[in-house]
Amino acid sequence: MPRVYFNEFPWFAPPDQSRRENGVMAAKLMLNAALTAPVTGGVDHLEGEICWGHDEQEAIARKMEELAHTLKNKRLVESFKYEAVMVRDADCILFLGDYRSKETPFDVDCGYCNGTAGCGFVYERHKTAMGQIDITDRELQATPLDGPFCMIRVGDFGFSIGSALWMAKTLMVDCRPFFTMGLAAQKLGYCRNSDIVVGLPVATLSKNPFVDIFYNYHVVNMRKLVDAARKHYVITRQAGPDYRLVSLERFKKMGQSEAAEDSQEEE
Amino acid sequence: MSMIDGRKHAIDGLQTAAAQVLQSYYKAPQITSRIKLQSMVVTGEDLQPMVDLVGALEKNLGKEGATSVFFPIYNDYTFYKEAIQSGNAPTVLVLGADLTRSELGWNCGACGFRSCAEFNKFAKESGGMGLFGGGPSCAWKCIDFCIAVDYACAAAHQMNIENRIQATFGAVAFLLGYLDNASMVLTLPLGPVVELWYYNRPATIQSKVYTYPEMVQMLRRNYTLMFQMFSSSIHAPVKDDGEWWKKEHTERDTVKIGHDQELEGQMLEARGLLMETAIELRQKVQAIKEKKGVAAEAG
Repeated sequence: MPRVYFNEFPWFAPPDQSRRENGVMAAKLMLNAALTAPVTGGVDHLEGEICWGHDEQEAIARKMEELAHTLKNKRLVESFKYEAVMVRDADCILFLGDYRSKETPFDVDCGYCNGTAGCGFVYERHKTAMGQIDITDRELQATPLDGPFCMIRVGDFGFSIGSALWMAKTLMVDCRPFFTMGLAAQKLGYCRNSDIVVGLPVATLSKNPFVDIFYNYHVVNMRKLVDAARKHYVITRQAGPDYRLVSLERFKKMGQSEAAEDSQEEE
Repeated sequence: MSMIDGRKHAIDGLQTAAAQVLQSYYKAPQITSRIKLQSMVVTGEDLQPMVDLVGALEKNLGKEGATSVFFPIYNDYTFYKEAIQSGNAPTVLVLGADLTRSELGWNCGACGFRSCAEFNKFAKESGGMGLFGGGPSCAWKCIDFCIAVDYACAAAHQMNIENRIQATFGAVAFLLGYLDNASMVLTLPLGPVVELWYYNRPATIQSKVYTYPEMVQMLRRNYTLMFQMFSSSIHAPVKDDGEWWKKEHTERDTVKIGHDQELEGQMLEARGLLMETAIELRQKVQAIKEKKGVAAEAG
């Protein structure tokens, strides 16, 4: 029988990769749970994509760090920076996207977007032709997301995210929903049919990496601390004699005799 | 020692289950962590104003008038009516939140405004109301509210309690003011204590919601393309149930698009009566809330 060894450290080493594969399995089941969530009228609306691997997760994290500055939104700077660390720490990230919020409103006059008859509030703020919203035209887009969206569809999207999170909870894997990760992934082409995307990072670590986050987390975190240890350790060890020239026993005695000589001199 | 009727005991236990479902609702994970969730547990006679609202439409305008407001509301009305009549009333969770204010400052644009400040200004000055609730809504607060609602549904599902999340009676509860200051309201009935009450739909048979020919008509109206004959004809005939091919060409149905004045009159009358009755019943609901000492902004 083959043996599979799991260990969460060192990161991305084979024992860690084996563990991460289980996180990916959890994310797949979360996607299925999202699909079974209640949905208005039972209409399909959801797509999903799983991002897994060092390079893939790094790309998302770097995009988030870029958005922290390019969006020019002071309220989101910390979120983008801190949550980029979480992307690196996660086993994988499940992205869920809703492809009906903008293109196909529910057309029921519900009023959640504003109450204008015939869902006019949504239709008049997008380019339309023959009663259809033209999603190929983004000329009017001035914000990260091209709203207004149909809030019934957005609500359905919330149900789906809820069921994915419930599955994570049931499987005892750590997960939290994030706007920042979704936006970065959307810009990198994940869930490409969707107008709104949310990131659900999954982790199966001794410590949940998505909670208990202190300020300046992007500069003080586990990776940086480990890096600091590596940096200082290699400098500190470059002191004293080489073991091949002076054995440990002799070195210890040398220290003792010098100390004895010092004490004699003082007397 | 005691002997208790099992079904009655199960029905009585729905209120205990409601507490657990609500614990799950309030503990749900969130994206913004800034939403104020509201809820109300409604049972017994306090449910009656909700049923009476649609009942008034049926009484005054008949089934056709009542269904013209929004057919699924009438459908769900029969579920409540029949459950109450059979002594198996559900315990109803009224869940809601105010989504019309945003202090996020994300300026994401999902609501259709360039900034949260513009959104807030518009909501305050020009916010509107539709058939189900009010707007405009912050998309992220909407997602958070619906994550919490989904957690409530999942908790009920895990306890194997018959339930269905409803925008229909949410709209009814919204109109009647069961929750104050909530722009989106949904109802989650727990029970009746039977198998698939909301999905097998026995109440629609008891209430004679639709006859078979009426169902066929509905399908033909909604899925015209499926029944359509040669599609390049300017007036394509529409196939019927039964031996439609034996009908002469001139006797076959065709699709015609045009303004339906009769329907418009019916809808206007029904919606007018709906609002009129809602205003009356709102006072009853307020009286119940005052009597029971329920805070104006439960949650």
